[in-house]
Amino acid sequence: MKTPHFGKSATSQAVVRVGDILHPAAFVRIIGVCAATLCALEVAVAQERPQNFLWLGSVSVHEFEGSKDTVSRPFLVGRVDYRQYGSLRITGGAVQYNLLGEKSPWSFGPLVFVRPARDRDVKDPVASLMREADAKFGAGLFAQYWFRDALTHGDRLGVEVETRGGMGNQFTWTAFNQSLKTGAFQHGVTSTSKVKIGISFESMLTSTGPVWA
Amino acid sequence: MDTYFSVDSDNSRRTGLPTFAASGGAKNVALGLTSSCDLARQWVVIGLVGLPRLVWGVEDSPIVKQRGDRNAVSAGMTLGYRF
Repeated sequence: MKTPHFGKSATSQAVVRVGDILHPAAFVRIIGVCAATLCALEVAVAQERPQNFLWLGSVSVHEFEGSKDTVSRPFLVGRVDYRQYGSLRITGGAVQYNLLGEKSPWSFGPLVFVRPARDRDVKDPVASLMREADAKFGAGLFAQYWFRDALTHGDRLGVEVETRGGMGNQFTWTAFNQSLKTGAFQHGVTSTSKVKIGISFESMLTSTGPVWA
Repeated sequence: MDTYFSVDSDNSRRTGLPTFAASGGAKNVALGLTSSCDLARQWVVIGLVGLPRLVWGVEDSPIVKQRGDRNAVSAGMTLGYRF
């Protein structure tokens, strides 16, 4: 077993999430676990030096979160590091610009995002009767930090906070366990959890403290 | 979260589902598995499986409980280029 090298840039890559820029309505369905899964892999394959990457593929995902029906969607994930000028990340439903570059365990910068629509073109006959929700575009900020060797040697524990204008905030943690390389194959395991913390700037102005949605 | 899991009175009337107000808190926990193989110096093919599970109240939404599934399996294949 070959122990992967985890550079700082690799750890910061691990927050990349998967989305489908070709079909925004698919974002919500694949951002969660597929994102973390691919991120784990990118951490694993970035063994020797920081690398930019572009991944294009197809995933079979549930039609909407909580749905029992599945559909196939294309997706695109990428990152381009401009070194001292920061880095651009295509991260699923959002595009982030990390002002601190990929050599720091910290990441911070602006983001633009899309909240996918929910239309009536779904397989479930009852869910299709629900009122449509339009797609929304917005902007916000993100901050991330990745701990090295947090639980065991070689693993990663990442935390991220995003504020999304008009759509609440989001906290995500990702624990990444070291990958395994066998011959030409590289395997990775990731666990992740996403929490919507629901503290809005507006609610803080009108109350004595944060309001939890 | 409210957009996708809540059922307001209008949607309840449309669908016959009971009303439900999604609250904050954890949305999902997930496990992801990947396997990759280098095709060339810069190209890699990747297989992935994702196992998310809705938790902490979201799964109680009638959209999930009556019409869906709190567990979801995602699988895919992708071609990656590193540069």
